[in-house]
Amino acid sequence: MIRVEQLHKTFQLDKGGVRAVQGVGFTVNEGEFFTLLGPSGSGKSTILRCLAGLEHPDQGEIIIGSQHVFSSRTKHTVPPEERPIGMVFQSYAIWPHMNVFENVAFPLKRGTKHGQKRLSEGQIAEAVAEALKKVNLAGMEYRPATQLSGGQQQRVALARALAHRPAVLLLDEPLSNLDAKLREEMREELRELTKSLNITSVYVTHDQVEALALSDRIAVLMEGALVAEGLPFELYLHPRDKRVADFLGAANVLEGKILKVEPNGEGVMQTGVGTLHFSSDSPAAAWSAQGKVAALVRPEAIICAAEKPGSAENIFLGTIQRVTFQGSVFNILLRINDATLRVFCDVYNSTLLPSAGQKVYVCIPREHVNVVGAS
Amino acid sequence: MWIFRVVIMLVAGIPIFSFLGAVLLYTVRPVGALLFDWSAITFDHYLSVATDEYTLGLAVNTFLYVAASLTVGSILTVTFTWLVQRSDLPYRHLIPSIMIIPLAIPGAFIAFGWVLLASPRTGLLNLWLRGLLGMSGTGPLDIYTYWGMVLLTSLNLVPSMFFMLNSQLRNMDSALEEAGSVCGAPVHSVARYITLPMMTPALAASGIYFLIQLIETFEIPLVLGLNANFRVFSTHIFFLARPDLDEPQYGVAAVFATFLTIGGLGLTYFYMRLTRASYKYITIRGQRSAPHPVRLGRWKVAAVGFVCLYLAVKVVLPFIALLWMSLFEIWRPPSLEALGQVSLKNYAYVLQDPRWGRAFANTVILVVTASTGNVLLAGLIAWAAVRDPSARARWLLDWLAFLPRSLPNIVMALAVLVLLLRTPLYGTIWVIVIAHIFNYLAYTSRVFISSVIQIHPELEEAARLSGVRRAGVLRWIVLPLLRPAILNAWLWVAAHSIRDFTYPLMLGTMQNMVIANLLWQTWIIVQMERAAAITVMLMGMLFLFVIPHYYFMRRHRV
Ligand SMILES: Nc1ncnc2c1ncn2[C@@H]1O[C@H](COP(=O)(O)OP(=O)(O)OP(=O)(O)O)[C@@H](O)[C@H]1O
Ligand SMILES: [Mg+2]
Repeated sequence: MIRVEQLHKTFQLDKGGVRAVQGVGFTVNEGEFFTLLGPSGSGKSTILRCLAGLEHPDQGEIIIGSQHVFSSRTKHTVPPEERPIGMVFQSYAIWPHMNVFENVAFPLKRGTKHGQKRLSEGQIAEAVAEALKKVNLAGMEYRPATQLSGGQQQRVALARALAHRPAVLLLDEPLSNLDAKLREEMREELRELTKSLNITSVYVTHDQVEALALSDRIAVLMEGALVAEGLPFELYLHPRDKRVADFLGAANVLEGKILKVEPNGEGVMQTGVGTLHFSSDSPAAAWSAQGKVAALVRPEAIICAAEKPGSAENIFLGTIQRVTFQGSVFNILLRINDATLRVFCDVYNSTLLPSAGQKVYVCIPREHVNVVGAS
Repeated sequence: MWIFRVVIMLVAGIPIFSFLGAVLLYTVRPVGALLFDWSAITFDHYLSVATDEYTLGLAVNTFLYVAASLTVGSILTVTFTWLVQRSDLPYRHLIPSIMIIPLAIPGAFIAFGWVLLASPRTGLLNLWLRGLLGMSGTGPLDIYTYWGMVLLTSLNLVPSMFFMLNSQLRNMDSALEEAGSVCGAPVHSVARYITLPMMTPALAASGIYFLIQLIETFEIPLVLGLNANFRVFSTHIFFLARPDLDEPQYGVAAVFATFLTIGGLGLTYFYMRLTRASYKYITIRGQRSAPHPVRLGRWKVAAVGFVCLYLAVKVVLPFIALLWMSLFEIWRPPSLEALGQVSLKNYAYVLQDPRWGRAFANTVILVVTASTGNVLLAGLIAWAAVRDPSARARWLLDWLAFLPRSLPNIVMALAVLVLLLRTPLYGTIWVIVIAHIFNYLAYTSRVFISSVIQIHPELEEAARLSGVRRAGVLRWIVLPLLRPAILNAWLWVAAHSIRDFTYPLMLGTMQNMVIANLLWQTWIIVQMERAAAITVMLMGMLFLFVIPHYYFMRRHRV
């Protein structure tokens, strides 16, 4: 279990300071895979390094397991070598003067995190072999570290971080230096491994696909502050924030005005494409009070057809401006009235063969319209 | 972290500032007063320096000597560098390896060698030339002159300047020059209008760097200047502080040293500014296009001749002269018949001298402890200077380590002398050890800084997260990763420590003499044959360090 409260960190530079983290707080449950997702420079690594003890926060409380590892109130801080943590770095940080075995054995041989008593050579060899087996590197013990591929280095780093059986695993963009194919493979392995060990993990990434695929829970970070937190599909399907919706994948943002809201949350709004019916699960009264709002619609939620569909609601006629074939979908840019709309049209589940200039009907199912404040 | 930072700063800073302070204090101490005697302050020393006509002559001499040596040395070096990097000179890639030999040879060696070759009366070349030209008397060559000193000093400057320029020119993208050629510019125009302007900041920076080195040159003005009656600042300070017969004049020496310090600090300031700006000119790319060599054509013979002549004058001739000298109990002009009388008696005589045993033992202690101490201190300074979280602390450490470079050796030597004169350390080998540790700090700390920069901080952080304390991180991660730099710096300091004359001559006594002292004592009482034997042995010892250093550098591309 990890608890972070009111974390602040400012880097002092020659000219002013960088406020990297501004009042971040979150809780990670036992055995949970928690992801900090955010664009470059949003302060993800800084938070992770504060958890590890490599960075000294200006303010805040950090509790890992039963240990209060940092407190600005009591001015108490536990150094990194005493925190119950294993960490995988973006650069892998494999020591080049040691072979695979020595790298993985290092925490057991020289460190104290596995407990105070010294392990015998035999115990160490056993523990290293076990750690290497977990990451599918059995039999590579005596390879020099400099002769490993990127993926192998990644696995060694993981084995090393797990060797002393930490309660918490921290990972800072561990997959970002791998090629696309390998990244997908490692992603699945990583998920399986952490789940089978039931280890509490904090994962940092700027890749939303990675975050959605790996995590039990995601926190979205922007400019040093948490802007959203939730289960992956919740955040994806019902974003409560324009920036979050945008960051988690493509989203159409249709700005407009609320015309009418029923007490049950159903309502109508005026947007650039025309009148749009929606059903919102958030307190509807709040929306009518606001003048300007925005509707967020995922491009893959929109249905596209050559003929007018049967239902009467949220049907619009538009002109195709541009089509990009992306393999699994057609990425279509439509012009409807004054607005443009992006639509992902499934290649196999559609009778449509879109081309530029063509007129098509689109249907926006009302349950896929997310209404948020347009600030 | 901050305790470590403060300790490092104090360990490096206190001695350096004590040295500076001691020199300054001595400029206002009456003759015979102690360093911390506050009863009297006098400006007599400044006054006597300012009113003495000799001062102006000394300044002019030093200027003429330094300016001429720098000019001649730069012209020779630029020619060498261009030939290696941009021409089709045969075997040009071997020149950097060959240059290691003249680089390793100390100034004293070629000074002694050339005295044997070209002293007006008995110089071997003079004997030979007089026979050839049917002359008698003395001459025609005379090494005991201003131009003799300039010639040897500039020859001595070439190797170290070559290595600095060579790496800079190698890093420069030759595509920029080829662009000039493609426009139709002839070879000399490309060199004149593209290569030279691009090299200007680097040239200016190395010019300043070597200016400091020339001001502190000691051995050549010492060996030749005595007879040429030509003193420069460095030799003048030496004769003031260590006169043969009179009382030492520390006060006046300290005044001169203060002037040199101010000049050195000023030059260092310009050097640091220039090296910062020069990054914008030197284009470093991972994938360099191989420079297209300029065809030398019929100039090839002249170029080969130039290289051979340099090596002959700098290395081969002095070595032959010294070796020949050392092999005869009674000197004989070179001839085939004389070879029958070759003997090792001079060597035997030197080795039986009780002073040799002491000098040899002291030299070994000096080389081993000074190199080790220097490497330790420089390594810690560099690690702190790279890893310290505070930018100001990083800058301060970097500056502290570079400070000894702004003080000419003779100034540092005088400072150590006056600071430690009345302490029990004086007269022990440890004064020279301390002086050498600080003297070579500027170079070695730079070697370490560039190596520590290459160690990704995450390598150290990963170790801490493995449960290892800071000291453990240094021991298990940083130290092994720095091993190439440590060996490189250690051998470099050892090679410089063994061949240095300035500190031993300024600080030496009968007890703490090293081989350099023995050599100088033998030389000034005109026991040329034995001095030659000592020189040959010293060279042998020197190459024990230089050769492994060279192969090591080659293997690791340090
Ligand atoms: N040591 C440092 N000194 C000064 N500023 C820093 C330092 N480390 C980080 N910063 C600044 O703090 C901010 C947050 O940095 P951080 O590394 O946490 O971002 P990040 O979210 O991990 O980005 P990325 O995805 O690019 O790794 C950035 O603006 C960065 O420039
Ligand atoms: Mg980061």
